[in-house]
Amino acid sequence: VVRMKSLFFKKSRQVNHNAVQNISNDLSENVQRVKDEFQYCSDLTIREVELGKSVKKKVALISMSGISDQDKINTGIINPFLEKWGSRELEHLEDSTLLQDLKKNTFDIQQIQSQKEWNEVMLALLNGDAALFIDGLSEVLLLDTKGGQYRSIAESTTQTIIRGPKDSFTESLASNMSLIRNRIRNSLLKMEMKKVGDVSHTNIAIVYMEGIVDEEILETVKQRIDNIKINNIAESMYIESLIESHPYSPFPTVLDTERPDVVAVNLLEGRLGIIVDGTPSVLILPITLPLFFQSPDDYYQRYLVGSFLRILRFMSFFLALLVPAFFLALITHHQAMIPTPLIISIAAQREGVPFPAVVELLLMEMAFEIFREASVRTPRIIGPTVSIVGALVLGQAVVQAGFVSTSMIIIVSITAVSSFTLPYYSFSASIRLLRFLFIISAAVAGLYGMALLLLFLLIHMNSISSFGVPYLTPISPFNKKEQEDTFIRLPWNLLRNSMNPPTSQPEKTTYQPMNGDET
Amino acid sequence: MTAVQKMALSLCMMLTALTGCGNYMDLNELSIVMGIGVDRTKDLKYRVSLQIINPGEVATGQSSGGKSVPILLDVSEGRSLSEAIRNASKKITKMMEYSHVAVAVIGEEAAKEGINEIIDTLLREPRMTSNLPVLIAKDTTAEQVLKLLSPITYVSSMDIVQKNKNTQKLTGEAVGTTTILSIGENITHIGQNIAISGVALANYSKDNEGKANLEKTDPAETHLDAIALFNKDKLVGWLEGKQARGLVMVREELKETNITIPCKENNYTSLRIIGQNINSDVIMKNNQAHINIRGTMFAFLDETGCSMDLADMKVIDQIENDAGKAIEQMVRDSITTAQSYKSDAFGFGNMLAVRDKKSWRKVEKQWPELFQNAEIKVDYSVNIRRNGMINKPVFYK
Repeated sequence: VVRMKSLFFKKSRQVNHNAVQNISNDLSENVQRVKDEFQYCSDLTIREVELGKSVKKKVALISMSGISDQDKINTGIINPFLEKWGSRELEHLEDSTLLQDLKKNTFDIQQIQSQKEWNEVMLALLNGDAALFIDGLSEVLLLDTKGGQYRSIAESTTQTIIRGPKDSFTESLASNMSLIRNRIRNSLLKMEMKKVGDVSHTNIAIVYMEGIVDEEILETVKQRIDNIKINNIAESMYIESLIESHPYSPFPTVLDTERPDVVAVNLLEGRLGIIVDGTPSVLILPITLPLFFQSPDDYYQRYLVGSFLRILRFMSFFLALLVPAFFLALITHHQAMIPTPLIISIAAQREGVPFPAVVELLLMEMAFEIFREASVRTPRIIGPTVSIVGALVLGQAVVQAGFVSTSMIIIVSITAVSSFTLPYYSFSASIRLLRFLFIISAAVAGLYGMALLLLFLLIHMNSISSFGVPYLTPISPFNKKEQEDTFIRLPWNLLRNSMNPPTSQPEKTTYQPMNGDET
Repeated sequence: MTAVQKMALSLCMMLTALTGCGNYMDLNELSIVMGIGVDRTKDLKYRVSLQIINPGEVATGQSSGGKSVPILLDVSEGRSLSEAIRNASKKITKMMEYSHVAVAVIGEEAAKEGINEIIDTLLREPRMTSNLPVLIAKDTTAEQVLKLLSPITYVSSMDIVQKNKNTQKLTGEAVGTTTILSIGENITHIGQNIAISGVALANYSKDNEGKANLEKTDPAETHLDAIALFNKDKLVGWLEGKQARGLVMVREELKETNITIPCKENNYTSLRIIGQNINSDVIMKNNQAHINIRGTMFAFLDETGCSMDLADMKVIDQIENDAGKAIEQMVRDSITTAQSYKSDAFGFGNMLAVRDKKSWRKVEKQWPELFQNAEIKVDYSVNIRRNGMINKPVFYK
């Protein structure tokens, strides 16, 4: 048993190459072997049935109860099985005919395969299939009974929009795939399955439009996924960080979304998606910075509104990143730059505040981050209490007690609200972190320090790429044609992408050589 | 070296380069200086008044108990201006912040002694803006002007500058904001002497000092009054009221003003000047300067105290004629007064220099005298564009 398990923990691919184990033709031996392998696995169900009228033949139907559909097993397998074979004469029946008959004419199951290799059978069982062992045969029928309990499709909770489809991905790979297929009913939409995780054997699907996707990127992604060595894939972030080109950068180079419409549109624009079983976050790559400012709302509203919203988001990005640092730089280094009435008012507020402005600002920013984290973590029932305490009681009291000045509260609030306008959480989280760097640089060297840091950041953003596509495309390298859907969105009849036939390759920007960004 | 190491190294290098640059200064540690006043004492020491703001009392939305005054004046003396300013800092707990200084007021007596050193010091000081407006205190000291608590805005420095702009725009009795930079550039200029608006105190008495002023319905106020004429750097005289308007007209800085002409005994017609077209030139003839000023004024008719039909062109012509004469008189007056002080604030010398460089080179040295004895011809015409909503006055007979 121990030997078997250790074999099992390796990748199935390697098992195929190294030690192909065949199935014995003795039913009781096989059943015992399965029982050994799944020792203490209480979700293993074994149903033994006897066929034939006078000559009996034993068969065993084995499945994992939690991940297979019990209804399907009862109505699709056991019922027709007993009806047809329970009282049939088996005397002159060849074993191979029996197998063929079973495979083709008996079950109400969509997909049936025969399998001779032990490890494949085990993997199929773990995927929710039912395995039918027949006495005297060294071949097993694998019946597709995948199922089990999943959350139903609900509205997206993290990426909400006003107009447009409300459905979002769930934890079920199959249902997620169907949501995409629903939107692109075209045979060019390919979904390649892979298994990752040496222990968990997590299913992932690579989704792309054949003929539109960049083959080179597709190959790289497949190769990087094959090279992943990890025990468990709990969430798509594992895949993201294991295949992305710049894992140490503060900026995400892979997009994650809960929205099937976003995935569908991006597939049609030549990107590829990775769906990971067990998580509603689907990855999209390669991506560039401007994509983090695009919300489906831009496309579902009139183009003027859409363009306005997008410009607004770019503005809020800079607000969220720079406002606290800028304010700090002004009041501690460049007092001359503040209009006189304003500086008088700020000076009046700051009278009696015990801490230096930078400490005050960091204090408030940290307090805000704590509230934000708390609001995510608090059980939903006491959530409102936290926000009332945080926003009303503490905000008021902290000013009245003279801990911080009112203007600081304003600045921190503007920053917080601005950061919420960004549609993708992974990106706004990065901004939140970078903001602290800016605050420190502003405290040390004022606007000069901020300019230096901004320069560093620009250099960094120009140096990274997502699977060969420079991160700032189409701003740097500049691409005039793509400006129609970067800072603004032109109406559909002027958008080039919407009219290209999907089979033609979209115009390629000059990508960096792929070998430059190997992990 | 990995990317992270490179990043860390370059950040460290940045820090070493930045060691000298930290000028972190919290607002709590700063006193914001709003105005600088310069006077001379009898023994010719500089007497500097710094108007410092007390933010808690000035800022809106702050619950002030009215315990103290919104501004305080820090006065100190020294042999030089910088010495005096340095001495002033002894009395204040916080560091002085000079970047928000709104105005520099120079006392009349100090201006008579010459403003060269004052302007030089203010311009040299890097913390102060070179666009700092300068005003001359008329019949009083700079200290007195800055000491006044103005009602509504509290900070007299801020509102004097605004009052200067308003006066210049609405009445034409003040020259536009004169900055230390422009004074510095023109102070030694021969073709045009500097002229600076004067600020005076109205309604001032001992009772109006300090906070008492804020509690009066007829408080003492600063107001713009007259234009100071300079000869080189010394104050030599004032152009008051209508004479000041003449200067502003000739300098083509007039935005709007009011011309009032008699139409009957004790009854007047008022015109609002809304624009002007001026064409002046200066020529040298027989070693004498001839100044010719020809201008057209565009006006609205604002008011008339006489019964006349304004639809009648002849009536309008008459008014235009009278107004033209009144303006000619005003301008001539203004120039004559300036001539008596030998102060060419109008820039006639410049006009000559532009028009006839050769003769200017010859007469440059004796220009003040030439200006004093120049012959003046003024010819103004007025063009009434509109006479308001009604033609005949309501009391038309």
